[in-house]
Amino acid sequence: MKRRDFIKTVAIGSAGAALTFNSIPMKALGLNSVTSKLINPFIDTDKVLVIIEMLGGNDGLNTIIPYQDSQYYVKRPVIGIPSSTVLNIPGSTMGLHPSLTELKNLLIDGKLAVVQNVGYPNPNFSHFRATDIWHTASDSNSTLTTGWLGRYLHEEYPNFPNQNPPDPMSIQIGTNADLSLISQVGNMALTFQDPNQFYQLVQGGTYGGYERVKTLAGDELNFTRKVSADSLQYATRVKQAADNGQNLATYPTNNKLADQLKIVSKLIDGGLNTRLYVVSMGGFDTHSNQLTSHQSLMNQLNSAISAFMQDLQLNNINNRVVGMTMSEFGRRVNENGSAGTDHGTAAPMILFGDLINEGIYGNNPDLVNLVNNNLVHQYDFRQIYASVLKQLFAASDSELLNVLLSQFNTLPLIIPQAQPPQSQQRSDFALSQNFPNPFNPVTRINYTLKKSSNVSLKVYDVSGKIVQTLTDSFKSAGEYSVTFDVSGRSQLSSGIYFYKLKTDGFEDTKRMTLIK
Amino acid sequence: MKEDTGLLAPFIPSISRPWNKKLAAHLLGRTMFGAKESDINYILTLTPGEAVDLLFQNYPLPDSPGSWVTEIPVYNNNLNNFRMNMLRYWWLKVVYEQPVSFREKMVLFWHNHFTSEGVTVRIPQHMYIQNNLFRNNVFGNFKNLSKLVTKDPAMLYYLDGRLNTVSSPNENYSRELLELFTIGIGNYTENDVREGARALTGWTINGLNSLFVSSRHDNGMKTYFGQTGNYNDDDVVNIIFSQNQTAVTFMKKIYKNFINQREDMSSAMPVINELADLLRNNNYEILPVLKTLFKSQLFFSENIISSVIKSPIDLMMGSIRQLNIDLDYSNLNTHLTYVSSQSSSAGQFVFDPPNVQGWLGYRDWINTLSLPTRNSFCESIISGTKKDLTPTGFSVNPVAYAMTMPHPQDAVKLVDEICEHLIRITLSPKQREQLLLTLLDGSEVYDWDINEPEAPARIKKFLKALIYLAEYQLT
Repeated sequence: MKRRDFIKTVAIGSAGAALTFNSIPMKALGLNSVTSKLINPFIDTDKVLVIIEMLGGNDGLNTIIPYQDSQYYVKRPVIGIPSSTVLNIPGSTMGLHPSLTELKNLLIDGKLAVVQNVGYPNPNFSHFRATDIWHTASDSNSTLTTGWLGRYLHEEYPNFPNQNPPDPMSIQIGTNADLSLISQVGNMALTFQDPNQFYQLVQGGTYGGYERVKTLAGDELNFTRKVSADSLQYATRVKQAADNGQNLATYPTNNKLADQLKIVSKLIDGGLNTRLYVVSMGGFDTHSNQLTSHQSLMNQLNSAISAFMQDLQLNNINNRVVGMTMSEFGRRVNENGSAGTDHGTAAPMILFGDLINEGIYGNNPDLVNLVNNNLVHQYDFRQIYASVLKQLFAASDSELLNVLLSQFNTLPLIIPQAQPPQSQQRSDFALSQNFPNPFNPVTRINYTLKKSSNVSLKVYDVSGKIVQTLTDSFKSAGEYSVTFDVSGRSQLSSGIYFYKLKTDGFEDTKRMTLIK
Repeated sequence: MKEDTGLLAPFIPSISRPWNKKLAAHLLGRTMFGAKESDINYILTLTPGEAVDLLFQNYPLPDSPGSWVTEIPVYNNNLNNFRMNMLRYWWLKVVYEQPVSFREKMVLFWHNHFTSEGVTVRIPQHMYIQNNLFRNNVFGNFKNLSKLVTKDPAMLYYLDGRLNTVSSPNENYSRELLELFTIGIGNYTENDVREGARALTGWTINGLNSLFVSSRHDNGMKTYFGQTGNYNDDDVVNIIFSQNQTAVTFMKKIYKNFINQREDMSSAMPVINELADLLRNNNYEILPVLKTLFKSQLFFSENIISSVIKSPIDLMMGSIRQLNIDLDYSNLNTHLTYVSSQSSSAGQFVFDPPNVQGWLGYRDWINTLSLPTRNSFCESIISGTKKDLTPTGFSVNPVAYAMTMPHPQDAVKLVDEICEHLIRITLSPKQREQLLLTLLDGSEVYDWDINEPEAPARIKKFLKALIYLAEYQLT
């Protein structure tokens, strides 16, 4: 691992205007003060990302449901989920699939976020090509042979494969590593289904003493020998962690996702320093008679995530783990004649964990302005990747560029954890929490200046776009109060907004919630 | 005019490159499941060209796995799952019993090309019918087979063709036909997918058979690859096969499967294009094309020897076959259950490819889990004991196997001869020394006697060391 020095003291003033990224006020992410973790990417991490792959193309519209949009029932007369059974989301006109009861609780508890309409330009409808696009983070019209997680791990572990880190860099529970975990230097993932069986399997010897084979076979031999050495090293380490770790929650049975998450939780608890886990569940390619099959999938997803979150909590590792779903595409807005749905485009992604900035991000799906009966994406999936790498792992901008190959605006999906040193607190101004909060349509924001200064107070949405400038002028010392009024601004959706106060040499940001 | 690479010219043995055990084992290893020592010796009595012709010879179709294959399908999960397993063991048995023939490996190729997953199709009869469709057309006409697969019941089920009707088109098959089965991604438009689906409407399943119901067919005009007409399923295939790219995409797949698979295929494109020309000139008859390929200088060139990673079935059934292991026919299904489950753990469960793309093969076969699984299986059929310490019920007869070699009484030669049989890469002197020391197990080389009571255990130990070599994973 590329272990970096933690720079403890960061002068706030010197950071100045640089303390924003992608126009999102930096403070918004910490909700209290600038975090040294975000300013300084050179920090080791104990954070873990768990990716849940929903293979086959999950029907986003029947997962996070626009049940208050009559178009939904017009386009899905047979498979539309009846509004009476949809789980409502407070403050949102979207609802959850009836089986997602525990995910709703997580949302209410502030531990779950949904990003709506995630996709990319020129969507591809092939399972394999679309999966590759998600795994490689490529543009639709370019082909990459390395994956985004693989490239990220290559940034973090530049000495691999010449030098193996002590613990696996990433683990895929299953039989094969995804393309996402392949880097410039090869497969970055350890793959197994059960730690103990895996350990049993690798026992057995082999000899060295080989010489270089100069034909094509030589490359395959090198490859095979490396895999063999890796399995020996890591199987031992994984077994140790599995022996040390424990599952304290009860997981559902006959649930393959739960089986996998159970192992993940145990390994994290057991002290394995692996920061990426990939688990998966299949069956989402619901071309026909999807109501029953999709319900079963939603049930499994719900109960597996619920048990996993309980387990993390009971093991007191809940502040280290973020989960994220992904699927190669959503499905066609209009149902087909077989009570199913064909391949589609944009769909929601779900993120969960104690570190999540909860809420529903993005607009509701626009069921009218479609392209070939398919949704138009609002967020690029690589924005979510960038957000997670930056906020959870404190990836630097240059790392992000190497991983994602171009710049993507982030969304404040994850609350960074490192707290700033107390000495950095400033007292020559104060920005108070808005009241009321949540609000609709009017809320009041107070601030205090101890000396005269240029002052700007602006409201941003979660994508970092300015919603309104409330103040932008020179003010003398004193107490001020401004109102933010959204009446008549129907395009503003429910959700989280930020307001940022900027004075000469300092700034502060707070979060507020609009509920329509 | 395209440049002729010359690589497809027939391989003619010479003093510098003789027709020997290594090349014979290479030919059988790529076209069969394991190369038995006796088969190698036999084809060495033929010319390379005659050996290839032999591999393409017809031989009788196998008996069916049971009278149930003609029963009307029933939706009884337990029964169907049971029969699906019977079907699986039946195919493994056909593989086990194969004569010198390319047929079954090519059936597996077709199964992995025109994929259907048993777990989705659910009716074992349909999977059997599809498997026999591949066997009956195994070296036949690619274009014709594409037409037949389009109305194959298992395929109509798997990719929803049965649900594709004029009133509600379903694009599933239309897309995969283009993307995976014929012309390949990037060579058609989304509009072709939609219009193709319309042309493919009308087919459904009636019991064991497919059935065309004209009232379900879309009789309107469709525009497909820029041509317009009231097309049906055969027209769709005809139009796809009138595109030059279709042959290229297919021959690229053949090349990857049977010659070599590299990340960068660009250097192979000239010869792939030649093969594609040959396929088109033969109206998509694959027999002459495959024969040319397997007889070619390219196929017998040193650079590609042992550069293919064996599939789990190839490794496992091949190991059983080339080690001359006798399966006990009174317990055959028990044995094949073990093979099937181990192959599945290593990533290949026949009749159930992971998805419509099939098994990717190549380096996808080898990872930190599958490699130990593969080794552990091979070890178990040498020791006779599984990882969980239960008996396999079948294992190598070490002395009998060694006795098939020319010099079983000479330890040094025996090591070389067995290595030559099981591995196509010349091992380093150091590797051979280690293997020899393993065989001798502390005794002196001049003390080696295959009739000694310790010999079986020593040969087993040596074979175990050999199968753990990375070289054994390749063919």
